[in-house]
Formats: sequence, C-alpha cells, structure tokens
Amino acid sequence: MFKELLQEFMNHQVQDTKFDVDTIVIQNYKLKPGLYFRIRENNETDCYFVKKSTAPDNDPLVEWFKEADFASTLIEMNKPIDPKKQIHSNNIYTLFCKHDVFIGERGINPDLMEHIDRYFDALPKIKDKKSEEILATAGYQPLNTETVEECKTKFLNVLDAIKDMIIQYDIKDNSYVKLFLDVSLEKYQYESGRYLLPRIFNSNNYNIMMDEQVIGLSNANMGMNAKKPYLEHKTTQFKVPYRITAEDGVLLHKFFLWLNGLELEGKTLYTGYIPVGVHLPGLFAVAKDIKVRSSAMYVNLDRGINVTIDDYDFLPRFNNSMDKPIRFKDYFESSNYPSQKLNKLNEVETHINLYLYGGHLIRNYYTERVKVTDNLSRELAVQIVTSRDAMHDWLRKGNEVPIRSCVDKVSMGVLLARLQNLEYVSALAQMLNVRLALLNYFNKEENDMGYVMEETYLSLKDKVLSKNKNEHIACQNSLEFYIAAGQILYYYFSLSEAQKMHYDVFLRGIVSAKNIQTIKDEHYKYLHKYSYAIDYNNQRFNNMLSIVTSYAPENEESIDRDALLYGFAANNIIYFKDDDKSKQDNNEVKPDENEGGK
Amino acid sequence: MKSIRFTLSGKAACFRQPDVNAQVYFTYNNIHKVALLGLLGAILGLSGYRNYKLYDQKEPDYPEFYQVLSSLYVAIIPNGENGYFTKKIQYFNNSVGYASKEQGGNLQVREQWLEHPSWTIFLAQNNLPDGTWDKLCHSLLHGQCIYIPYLGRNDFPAQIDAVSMVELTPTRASRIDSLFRFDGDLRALDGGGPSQYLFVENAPLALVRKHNFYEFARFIYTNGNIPIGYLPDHLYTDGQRQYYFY
Repeated sequence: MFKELLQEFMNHQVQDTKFDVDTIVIQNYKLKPGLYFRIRENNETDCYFVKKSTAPDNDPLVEWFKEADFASTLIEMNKPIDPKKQIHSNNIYTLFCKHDVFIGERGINPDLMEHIDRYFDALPKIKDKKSEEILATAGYQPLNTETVEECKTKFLNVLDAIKDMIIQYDIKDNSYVKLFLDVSLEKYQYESGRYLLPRIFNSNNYNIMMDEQVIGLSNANMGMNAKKPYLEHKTTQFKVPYRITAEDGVLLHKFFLWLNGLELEGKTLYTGYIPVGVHLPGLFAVAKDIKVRSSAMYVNLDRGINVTIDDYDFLPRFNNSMDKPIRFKDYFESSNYPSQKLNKLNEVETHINLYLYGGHLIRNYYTERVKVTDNLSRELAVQIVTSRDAMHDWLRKGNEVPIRSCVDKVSMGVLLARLQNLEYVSALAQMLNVRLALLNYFNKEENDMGYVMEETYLSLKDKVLSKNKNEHIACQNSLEFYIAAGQILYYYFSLSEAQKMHYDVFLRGIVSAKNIQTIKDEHYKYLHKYSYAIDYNNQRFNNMLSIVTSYAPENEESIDRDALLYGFAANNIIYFKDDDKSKQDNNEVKPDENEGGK
Repeated sequence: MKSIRFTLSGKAACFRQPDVNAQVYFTYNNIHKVALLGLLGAILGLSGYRNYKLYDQKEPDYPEFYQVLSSLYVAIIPNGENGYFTKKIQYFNNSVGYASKEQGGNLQVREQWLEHPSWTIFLAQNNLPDGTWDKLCHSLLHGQCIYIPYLGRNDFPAQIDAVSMVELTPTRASRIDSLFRFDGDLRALDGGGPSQYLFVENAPLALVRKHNFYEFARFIYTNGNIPIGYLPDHLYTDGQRQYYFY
C-alpha cells in the first residue's frame, strides 16, 4: 500500500513542478494553537498568535513559522528530546512548551529553568550506538557544546520580555508557547535531520545492515508491542514485518504529516482518492473531483492521536460519473420528495443516505459499534451493519457487484427497520421511492414496479370515488387488493386516538404475514376495533371495504409487501378532497390527513 | 515453450501486505510469485520457513520451497472485472490466550479479505530440473497434493481446476493480458477506449537471501497499449492472448 501511495506522492512534482514533497506538505501544514515568537539578533521578537488551526494566509511570517515548525516538532510524544517531555521541540534553534509550563501563577514558572537546562543538556547527547551509526552514515558531526550554549543564552536573554508579551494574550493552558531563533530555514531543515534520522524507525532494536545501509522497522501505522506477540509475522522468516531505510522513513513521516493536514474548505478530510498516473491539483481528491474515469487509490483515515489508514483499495477504473443515471421518481404525488435523475455517485449517496437511511448511513460506514439512540433503533443498526459494506463499495468505490445481489433485501430491510421510529408516513413514501428506483436501476429488464402501482392506485381511486351506489365494486387483481388493504389500514390508523402513533405496532402483523388470510384476519381485527367510528354511510369506505373483502386468490401467492406499503403511504382515497361539492357528500374529509402528515 | 495452465480460485483469500499492522491488515489484490511458489511447494510437499526451527536444523539461505521452485516461470491473470476483486474488512478476535498478554488475553484483528478471487495461472519450466517439473505437472494434472494448498491463510483452501498443458510461442504485441512489470511513466499507457482500466500493485517478486524479506516490483494490469520501448521481455502467446512470464 505505502509503495503505491509514496510513488504518487513523490511523482506529484513531475506533474506540477512547483510541488516537491516538502512544499506539498507545508502547503497543508497547520500550526497548532498558541503563541509563536521569532527572536532576532538584537533580541527583538516577531510574534504571531494562532487561535485555532486556521487556514493559511499569505503572511510571510506565518509561512516562515510553518516551515520552521514543520522542521522542529516531535514525531510523536514518545520520541522526545527532553526526557521528561516538558519541552516539545527537537533542535537547538527552538524551544516549545505548553503555556502552563512557561507561565506559573506569578510570572515565569519556577520549574522552567530546570526544563531548559535539561533540554539543552540532552540535545548534544546521542541515544545509543545505533543512532550514532545512522548519523555518521548521513554525515552529521556531533553538536558542538559552544553552539548549544550560545543558542541557550539567546533564549534566556528574552525569557522575561516574552513572558510580558504572553501575559497580554489570554491563551489557554494547553496552548503552545513556541520560540524560534531567526536562522535560515536551511539550518532548520539540516538540524531536523539530526533529530529525525535516528528516531524515524519504530525502534532501533530491529535495525540491521544490508548493502551498507541501515534498515529498520517502519514507524508509520506500525507497532511492536511486547504484550502482543502476534504483531510480528509468525510464519515468515522476517519476524518484523516491514523494514525500510531511514530516508524512506522520513518520506513516510512527511506523507503522514500531509495526510494529517488534509482539508477541504476548512473541513478536515477523512476520505478521498489519490489519482494514479494523471494527477489533480493538490493530489488528494474527493469523489466529485473525479469527473473522468481514472485509476485511483481510495483511502479512509482514522484520525486519533495519529493518523491511521483504516481503509485502502486500488480502484483500476473509478469514475464519480455513473455509466447510466438512476431515476429517483416520486410515485406518490407527495411534495417533499425530489424527483431527480442522478448520475454522480456522491449525489446518489447523499440521496440514499437521506431518504432511505434517514441520514444514518454515511456517518456509520466505519463505526465499530453503531450506537442505538432514540432515532436509531436496534433493528436499523443491524440493517446498517449488514448493508453498509455493499453500499460503500458501490457509492465510494464504484463496485456494483456486492449491492447488485442484495439490493432488494437491503432496501426492504432498512425500510421495515425504520418503521419502528417512523415519525411521518411521508418518510415511508420516500423510502419506497428510493427502493423502487434502486430496483429499477439494478434489474433493468423488469417492469417499472412503481409505475404499475401508481396506475393501479389511480384506477382504484376512480372506483372508490364512484358515487353510483348500485355499481358492484370488486377487486380486479392482487395488486389492487394489496394497495386497497394498505389504504384501508391507514384509514383505521387515522381513527386511532392514541397520543403517539406507532406504525410498527400497527403494521407488525401485516408485514410479517405469510399468507393472504393473515392479512384479512388483521384487517378484521381493526375493523372491529374502529367500527364505532366509521359511518356506515361512508360510501368511499364501503367501496374500499368491498374491494378488500372480495379478493380471494385461487392459488397460494406470496405477499406483495411493496404494494401493501405503497397503499399505506399513498394519499388516502377515503379522505380525498376532489372539489368543494364533495365536502357535502363526505363530511369526514380531514384536510390535514391529505398531506400524508403526522 | 511448454506450459501448464490452471485456474486458481477460492471463496476468500488474504495475502497480507507487510507494511502496516496498526489498524487493518491489508491484502494484495493478486497472489504474488512468492505466495504462488509456496502454494506449489505445498502441493509437492516441500518445507516452508519454519522447518529448520522445528527440527533444529542449520538456518538455510532460503526456505526449501523457494530454493527448489524459484527458477520456475509464472504468469498471473486476474479473472475479476478490470483485474479487481471485491475486498471486505473482517473484524474478529484471536482469543486463544497467548496472542495477547494484556488483561483478558484477547487480540482484536481487522483483516481485509478478497472475495471470490480467481486467477488463471501459467507455469513454465525455465531452469527447473526435469524431475521436479514433471512431478509438479503430474500432481496438478491428477489433482494430487502432499499438503493442502491454501490462499494466504489456511482457512481459505485453494481450488485448482481446468488444468491443461499448453504450447506457447514468443511474441511482442502491444497489449499484455496478464500482470506485468512496468517501471515507466504510467501516463505513457493509452488505448483501451472508454473502458480502459489500469491496475497497479507493488508486489513481492522474490525473497532476499538469508533475511528472506520480500523484494518488490511494480506490476500492472491494463487493457491499454504499451509503447514498444516499454515492452518487457518474456512475452508469450497461446495464439489468443499474450502473457508476461517472470
């Protein structure tokens, strides 16, 4: 994985000559919050206050601080210069510490001197023999004690002045105070090598010599822990998984600094693509940037204390634009579902996330345990866990293979799971719309189920609204029966006077029905329950009832849940408001219900 | 050139990339030469990395399977769409007890697995001794093995079928239908039209003497055209497609 990533990272300069590795890292580099001081020869200081990790502006002082800071920060807290980890810089030109280490209750913290002494004592020392070897190979001479003392004095001279300036700012204890000597950036870079090279490996204990080069255990997303023996490779000759040269280690370190600073319009990026071959400006791309088919690496980042790559895949042919669009269509005449034709994967993802998963899919792609809340039932959590990989493969990697075989099951599963906390019946309509669009997209040879249901609903509407009392109204086909059953169930539901509506309780018996008799039994149950509230002269209800009761299939048939739910979610015909005059015939019209509202 | 061809497939596979162990163990998309030689070694009953430790022998330069088989030529053709196999990250516990010395003794493992991978493999004798080559062909053709061949982990038995002997002739066409080594600029590859794909993977090519690390090379798989200057050696055809042997 790293080899492919680093190849593109280094290659970026070939495509855009301005951007060598260091520049591309510094472009993304963010200064940590705190006060930054540059100490000039005459003890004057330039000061810059970083409040939050702000977007870089073009201030030359800030650019200078970024480069100097980039060269002077610790790789991680476990690799300090100061053995007590109070001073966080890594070379003789810098002195970094937290605000509370610098400032005590009355002026300068009394312990600060001790920390500074310890830090400058530690700087010229070399940890061990192996570090010495590495430094010697890279051509570093040991630090001269005089230079160290000289630098130390420069810091001591300005401590008081700095203290006064810090007090003027109201900064938090855990913000940094960072002092830099005004020397050339080349010197900073050179000195950073003295710190980095011997510490770039995870541990120098694993170093070996090969072809007169030291190679050691990589430190990027790699750890050896004596308590976890299986982090080693047990079945290969090399126990330590991945040994690299110190130069490659430094490169990986920079690569991770770059990943760490990735953001888009001020928002930290977690997921994206690194194109292979032909690059995009900035190298890292989000889905909508990839407008033509290209070969790309998909990367997802876990941002804890360190950045960890927790998903990686090489996509030989990725394109955010789909070969054919999905038509999301509203089959319900409801106003709150956008009928649209989408052909961008990221837009389809947003649509499915919102209208099928109620906003719970995208943020749970990588959650280890999907958290059950009032809005996210246990059933839905189960559905998310079962379906997210297939959805993710399709919507993020353009791989339709997994979802193609399970789209029916997945969309119905999510839909049923969400019934439990359904607040609006229109949400059911939205889910059905998404489901029908997905089924159409993946099974193109079959009929448009939504269209057929919509047509049946319209003909049902004509029948039910018929005012001819002598006409014999009977059910035409199974589809009509299921839609009518859904309609009449919704009607009962609307008669309920319960404070809080539970769609799942109402629909549980129906959607789990194995045969048509169960549905009819459930229906009779509710008919008895609500009969007191139903006007026997309500012709629309009588027509609907006649359709539901007149259907008796000769052979066993499977339940058409889609039609049943469609009937439930569609505008209720019994409450239909056609013209003013209909109000007189049917005084039961409740206008609010017509919207399919609460 | 005489060659033996077979299909290698399974329900799942995991050929671990060695470069990270912090969160997820990633897999190579394709079986690499060292793993393939290991699999063939299992068929022939050759010993692996740990043998000398188990039997207290002198440490060899290479494990036996590699010592014997490394001169074999192989060509690997991924049978997935665009050379790609669906991958899924599996999350499981290693609770044998000795995998973690932390409280509870549980090691959590996240590992990326390939789903339903399938490759067409060609083998050619090259410098392999006649005896070993004949034995290998015989075992493959008759479905015999000493140890069970598996795809990266012994949970994933390998399926080997459609075995046949094929006669190949050298060619130099601009399209290669197998994985091949390519160190040039990827932008030089073209053709393939709107359905062009390009798969790139730095995979183990060989073992380093004594330490037995992997030596890596960049392999690509594409339907694009390769400019003449970039065409590698060892290209052979069965009359229909062109394969790269290494």
